Amino acid sequence: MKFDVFLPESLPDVLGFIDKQREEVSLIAGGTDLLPRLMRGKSRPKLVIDLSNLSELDFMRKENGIYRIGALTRISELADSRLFQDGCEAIREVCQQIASPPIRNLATVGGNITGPGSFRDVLSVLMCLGAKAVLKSRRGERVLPIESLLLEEGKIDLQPREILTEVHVQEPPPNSWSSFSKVGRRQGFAIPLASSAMFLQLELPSRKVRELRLWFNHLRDSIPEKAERTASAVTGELLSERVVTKASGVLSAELRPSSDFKASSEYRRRAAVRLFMDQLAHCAEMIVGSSR
Amino acid sequence: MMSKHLVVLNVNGKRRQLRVESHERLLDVLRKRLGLMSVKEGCGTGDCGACVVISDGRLVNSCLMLAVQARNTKIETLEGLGNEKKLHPLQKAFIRHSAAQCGYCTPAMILTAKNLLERNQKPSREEIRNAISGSLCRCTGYVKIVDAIQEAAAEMRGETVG
Repeated sequence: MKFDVFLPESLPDVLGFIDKQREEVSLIAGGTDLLPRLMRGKSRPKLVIDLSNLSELDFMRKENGIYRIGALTRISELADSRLFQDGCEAIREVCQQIASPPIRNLATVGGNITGPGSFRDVLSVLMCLGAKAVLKSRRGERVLPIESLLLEEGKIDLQPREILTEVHVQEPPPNSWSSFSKVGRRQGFAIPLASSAMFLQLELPSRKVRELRLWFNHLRDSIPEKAERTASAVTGELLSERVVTKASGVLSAELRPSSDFKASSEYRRRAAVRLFMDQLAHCAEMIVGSSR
Repeated sequence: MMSKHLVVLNVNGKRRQLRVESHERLLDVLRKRLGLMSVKEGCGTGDCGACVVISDGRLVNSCLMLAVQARNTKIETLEGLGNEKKLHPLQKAFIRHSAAQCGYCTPAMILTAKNLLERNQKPSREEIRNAISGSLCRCTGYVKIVDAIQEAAAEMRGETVG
């Protein structure tokens, strides 16, 4: 494990430096993804760029109805923040459940989204909230739906010499809520066997579903997947026991979980359905409760 | 770009200036270069938490940080807490409760507790368990560790214990 490290002081430094490189470079911020891969021999970079000193990418704020999160914001900062309200609670919820306290103090939002070995639960939540990614290179800037970064095999569609600099989340509309839950075998530092991110918008007082967005993760490796058929089965319906039962059946048929030494595919399927039912009830209750 | 970097650290209140290799981890520098043997390497991948130190007031895994990333930071290890002549209340409580057996996780547990008690002087057992969830202990079942942290917290609040 030997390499050189470049220590840039600003974003233009990074973009200019990357632009000149002919070989692939590795980026390090929190280190919670790269260093274990180096230790396990899964990555052998010759050159690493340390982003951890770029304070200009360490921020979170709400401006004109948009939550802006810098790529270097630590997971623990989001977990402790009171910024995320009005339907964006899933951001805080996911960050409170990732790994352990010392890892949350190191790991960054950008790393969770782009790190090749990342568990990508923050990405699931951001996709569920319809977030946008801001990508920069020396040649310019791209702003695109974060969902479009996720390729089929779980790879992230970054161009060479381009880095993720921030994420934008539009303030959700009234009568909406979001939630993140995971199933693991222990209460702290649990490796997820299944996780679910949900965004729900209702029409009140009828409780008719205006929009439902659903992302599951860890059902097949750590590749988030969207449950579109299930969301369609519920959209436009009045929330009732009959509709939830029907949607659970659609979800059970829609998911294709895999088996490994941690859990069988059937366990993961049932866990995902349970997460869905609990989260739907929770989100609906919070929407109705907060409208009073 | 260089393979060696001049790094200034404040370790346990002392200014240290070192020339470190690009690939050296903070863990390696603290243990091998500065002789701070309380910082343990277990898994080397952030899973066991034996290597945790406090960096600028935040608990971090020193096996997951390059030493150059710690430049200009204030690092605290167990060596900065107390010594055999003057033990920290957490160290005394760990001894009283036999909260250490093999001792491998103990420095990390005590540093984690110190970091927690600086933010929360009266943590519940659940808050303590959450705080220490990043460090594994194979000897105690965690009960004695939680007992010791609660008692040390009470002593540090000025309550009579024992």
